[in-house]
Amino acid sequence: MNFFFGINSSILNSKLTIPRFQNKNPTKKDYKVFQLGINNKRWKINYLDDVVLSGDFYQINSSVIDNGNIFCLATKDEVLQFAENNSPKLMNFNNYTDTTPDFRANLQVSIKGGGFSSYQSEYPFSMVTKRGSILSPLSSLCNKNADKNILFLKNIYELPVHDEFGVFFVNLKTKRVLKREVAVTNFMNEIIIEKDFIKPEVFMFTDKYIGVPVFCSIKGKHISLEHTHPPHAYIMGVDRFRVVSELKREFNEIIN
Amino acid sequence: MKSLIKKIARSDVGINVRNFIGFRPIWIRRNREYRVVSVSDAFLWRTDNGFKTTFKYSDILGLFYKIKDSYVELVFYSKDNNLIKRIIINRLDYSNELLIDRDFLNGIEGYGVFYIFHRSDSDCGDDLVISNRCYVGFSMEGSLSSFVHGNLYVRYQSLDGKYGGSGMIQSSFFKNLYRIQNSFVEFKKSELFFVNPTSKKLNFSIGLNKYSLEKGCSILIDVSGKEEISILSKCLFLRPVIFNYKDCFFDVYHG
Repeated sequence: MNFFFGINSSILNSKLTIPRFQNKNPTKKDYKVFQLGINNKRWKINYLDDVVLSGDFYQINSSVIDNGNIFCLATKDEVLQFAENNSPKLMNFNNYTDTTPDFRANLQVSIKGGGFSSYQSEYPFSMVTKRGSILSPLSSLCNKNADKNILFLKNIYELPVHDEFGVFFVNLKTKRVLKREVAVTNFMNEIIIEKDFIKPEVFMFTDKYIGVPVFCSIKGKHISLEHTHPPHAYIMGVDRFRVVSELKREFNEIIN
Repeated sequence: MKSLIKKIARSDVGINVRNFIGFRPIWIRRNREYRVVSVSDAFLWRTDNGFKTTFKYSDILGLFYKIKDSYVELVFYSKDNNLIKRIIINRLDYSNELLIDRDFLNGIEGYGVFYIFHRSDSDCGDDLVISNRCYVGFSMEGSLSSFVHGNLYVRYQSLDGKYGGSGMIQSSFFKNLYRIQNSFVEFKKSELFFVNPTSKKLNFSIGLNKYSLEKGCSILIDVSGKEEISILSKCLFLRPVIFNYKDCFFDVYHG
């Protein structure tokens, strides 16, 4: 299954659109949108009864989106089972959004009176159960000519905790940490990227938790939003996890 | 017995049968004899209507494999799959950028696709398959580029450029439905960009409109104002790049 998320930022408006149909099949109307959040160190799930349904699309606007909340598609029975289980961990409710091609929601961010940009906003359950590190080049999606470049780093972790972890900006050529920021699990973290960091040799690296890095550039009234791929997406050979591990080990040595 | 069935299902004949009848199809294939290759998407370039395209790519061989003499070859085609130009870029950084505008494409205003292949003259072992996902940004009349990442596997070439293949996306005997999972009603204009990623002529339809693309050809289709869009074709993976326009702004993403 996939979870979906939005962005709550003072700079941007955001709107999350989740289709209630799969990309190869007819609509199943019993799949509703639920919201999950952490309350008293437990996962709490709520039915979003005031969400707008336009055609076959659930539309969740800024007023409902919180950086600590996530959304999913499920039936009422599946959610009831989760509630009855009283599980301390997030559960894989269903495989409704496990499709090929990938299931797509749409997270659209916009500037008041200005442009808009979107990204698919899915967070696979397979990532929810994992800890580790993520690595992403900065200059692939940041823009030196933009007024502002922002990293939105979303983490969803199975346990209902808000643990801190490090986000490092590392120069691979000089083997130096340029800056360390702190991010939090089960949260949409907003980190401003300094222009000086936008160089081919500078990478973002996390130390304890993984996540989805979404980069946003703003210039005047124009905006661009897109995520980067994890390093193993670049390698299709059988040795891909070994090769990526070796590269991450190099970054680990630099930050330690 | 179980392992024998698995072996048959994973053989070339088995995959052909699975794809033919649509049972657990394998949507992407390449010649498995080639074990040191660079796989490329068919990336869209646009220079029509004031568009400029920015291409961002990584030096995968340098970053992951520490190969010092790596370089890339980029090959540009028109929408009708006519070769426009082929360039080699040496001296790569970990991340690199190329502006594709009318001047770069010999004055051509239009659209089409391009491919990126990584190259090295060093010995790269006997099992190295890479694919640059890359990012393509589109700007109109000097606006900030809106970026979208690579989405498909279409062509591959060996790292020495001596052999390769195309049409990696497979087809089935039966037609496949693909419903784009976003609504288009709020936009002034919406366009879908398709490239034929298969090795054969591709026929597809959107509603009552029928389209046909020869191998390697591409098309931009205006689908403005529709609530929902479904695409019907025999291709196992036909997902467009989407342009939405509202007021003076536009957005691009893969659908």
